[in-house]
Amino acid sequence: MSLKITNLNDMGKLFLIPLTALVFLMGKFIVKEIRDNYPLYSTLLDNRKSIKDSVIDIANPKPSNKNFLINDKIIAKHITLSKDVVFISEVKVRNYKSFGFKLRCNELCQTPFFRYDSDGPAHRNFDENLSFEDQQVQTPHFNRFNKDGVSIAYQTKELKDAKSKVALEDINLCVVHFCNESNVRVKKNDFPSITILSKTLGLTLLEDDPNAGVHFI
Amino acid sequence: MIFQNIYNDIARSFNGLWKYKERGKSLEIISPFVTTSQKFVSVFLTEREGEYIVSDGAWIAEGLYENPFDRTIDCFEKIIQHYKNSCGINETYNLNKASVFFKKTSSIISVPSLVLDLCNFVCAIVSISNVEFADKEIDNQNRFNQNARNFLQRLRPKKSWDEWHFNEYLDSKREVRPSAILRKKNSNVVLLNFITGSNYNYFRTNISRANMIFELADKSNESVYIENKIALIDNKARGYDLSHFSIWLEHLLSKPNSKKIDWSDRKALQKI
Repeated sequence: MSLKITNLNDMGKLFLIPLTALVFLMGKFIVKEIRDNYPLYSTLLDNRKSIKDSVIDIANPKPSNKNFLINDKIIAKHITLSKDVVFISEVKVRNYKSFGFKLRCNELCQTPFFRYDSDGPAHRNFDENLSFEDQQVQTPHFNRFNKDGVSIAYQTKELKDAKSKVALEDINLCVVHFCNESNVRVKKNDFPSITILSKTLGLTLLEDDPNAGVHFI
Repeated sequence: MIFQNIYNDIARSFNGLWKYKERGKSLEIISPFVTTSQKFVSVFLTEREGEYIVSDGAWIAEGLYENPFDRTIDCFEKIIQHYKNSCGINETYNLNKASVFFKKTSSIISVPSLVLDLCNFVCAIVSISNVEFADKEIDNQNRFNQNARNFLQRLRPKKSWDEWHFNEYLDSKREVRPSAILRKKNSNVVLLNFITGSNYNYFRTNISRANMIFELADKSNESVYIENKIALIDNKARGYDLSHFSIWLEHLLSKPNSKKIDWSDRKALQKI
């Protein structure tokens, strides 16, 4: 069967075929920059990182998604590397229990290299050595990368324990857990605290139902 | 029945992936459907005035599957409309004006079928949203071209009368147009072609284009003035994978006799 390209739109479709196949054949996303610089990645994550700010106020609308507030101005200094790490905090506008923390190093890659999600979809750890059910990791969970550059979700023992999991729904308790897990401190040995829209009336919004207030016409 | 044990295990394993979370008046149903971003699809079941509603909870629009959601991309919008029509999906908005995709029914026995349609829809749209569409590719290429031009313009020329020219033809017949031309005082020129791509197919295409331009340059009346031909390779690009295009690159370097400079070694351009 011959394929005749008659216009630019057809050419666009032709480009789409191998690209789509590539994404599906891989079966997983690979961050090449992390895979190819794994010792750097491990050093970046495992060693101490220090921030100056003892209070992180999440107050700005996320430019790419107005449903979230973000603070992505906090810089963490690595103890040995000269590369800056951005400490990103996000919270959902209508549900302050839905939040996330991320660490990104622009000199390594644009994708955050470590993250915590309190809410959102379950992650699949694509590993044929795991049973099918064990491949599913629900939120809340952390994500770090393995040496193949693949994002792996996991729950700490605190997140697996029912009581402490409920306690960690509090963003200020959780930020301490995140800092412990990623080795971030304020100055030498303190932890940051989080405020949300501190310059406003300070109503705490906890709308957990994504169907609430939606008119299904 | 052959393979009965395996069949039973498949059914049991898939069944074990269905999970739920209670969220106010909605039930989050975590399904075994997985996006290419390795996220299990969740849908949200609620009841309003005797009708059962299954929605995506605006999770696609909010990017919770680690997905972009840019409906200004024409191809992507057409795909959304295709899936909406074929799965019978409706669209509304939440209080933050984010798109909510849903189906509803008054028949309780239809709920599983709605869940199937929504899961299919979410899985397809999220996975496709991560495809690099051709028009996105043009943006990527333009970005590299701009970075390369900015770098070249900042380069201190060997002699102050050397000049960079971009998007200009080499020849009087206006047929040969490389990415950049360095025109020197002695009338000699250096031709540059910028080569990038978000996957190896685009790299191959751009190498072929550079090859064609360099060969045509050699055939032009102005060929006697060509001092050098350089392929500036974006070796930091996502699609940079020599194993997939080394033959193309070797041909470019040997046939029209050009040189290669990697973007990471771009300081070498000071010496041309």
